[in-house]
Amino acid sequence: MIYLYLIATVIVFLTARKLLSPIKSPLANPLLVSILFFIGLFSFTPLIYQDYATANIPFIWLLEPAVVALAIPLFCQVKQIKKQFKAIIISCCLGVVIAISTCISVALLLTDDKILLLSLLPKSVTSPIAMAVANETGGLASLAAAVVIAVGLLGALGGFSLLKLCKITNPQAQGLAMGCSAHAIGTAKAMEVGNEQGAFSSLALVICGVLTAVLAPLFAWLITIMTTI
Amino acid sequence: MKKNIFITVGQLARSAGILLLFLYLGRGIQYISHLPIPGSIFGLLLLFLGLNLRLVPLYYVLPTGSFLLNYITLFFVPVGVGLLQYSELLSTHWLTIIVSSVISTVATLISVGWLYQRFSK
Repeated sequence: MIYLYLIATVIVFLTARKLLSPIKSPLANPLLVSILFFIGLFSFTPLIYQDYATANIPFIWLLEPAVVALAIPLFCQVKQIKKQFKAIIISCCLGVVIAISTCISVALLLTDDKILLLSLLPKSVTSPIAMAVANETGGLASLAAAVVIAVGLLGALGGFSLLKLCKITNPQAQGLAMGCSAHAIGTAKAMEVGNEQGAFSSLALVICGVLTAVLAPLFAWLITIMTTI
Repeated sequence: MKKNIFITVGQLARSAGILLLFLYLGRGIQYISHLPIPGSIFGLLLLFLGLNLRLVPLYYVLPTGSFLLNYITLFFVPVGVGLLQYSELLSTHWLTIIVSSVISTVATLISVGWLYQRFSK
């Protein structure tokens, strides 16, 4: 019977998508509304979250081939990618450094909890990479995963409005910015906005994910120094 | 896209099989290399390579691929509801997490978008 939760996920999401589509506000996001619906349901009723989690494992499982399928929009944009290769690499490299350094320096003003800082480090990359990075550097994988999801939702909700506000209208630039800052959840949003945005977002997701994994030990070492001073 | 109406079960099975094949190839690489990068990312890169080298024609992967990409946001619903598990961790550190994440996400979005818009051809 718990598999009714699987159907419930589909119905709630599709209903939210249908009802919210005429509303232009970034808060009218079907993903956010569905998540809040279920969080509310399990917080305020005696229903048990664990049943929901078990029933929805197929969706978690489907995420993996869906990530593999991101190669399709990437392939459709391969000419553009080749043409802009230098600009893409430069933007992503700087993006990773900015994402990590701004987050850590702001967090350092508020806390000197080393484990928390190390868990915040991979906040802009897709959760499997973030959890692996957190494990490797001595952070808390579960905390890293939670932060990653929150950051992804934040980017998916406000990302495109903010980019438009800052006159960043180039679809490729929008895509890269979403992928760098809000990983797979941002990429899912970018796919809805347009193919070009989606392709460049998945590109940034891959490049930034790999770069973060490579650079994490360096930043972890810096955190260790900063917290011991 | 009109052709999509005539997708057969066989075409669906073939595209699903290819996606799974690349996913498991990716997992294999992850398993052998021990890199902190998930198998699905290796799978993505391999499929991208395969498409570019014409080893896999685009229409072979399109039926299941476009279906999964259409509903990728839906798959994130249970991931987001999963935040419930971390409510204790999140509530202890919420201020630090929110302030640093918001500032950093805004800074990253704007700087990457601006840089690329400025330097792309």
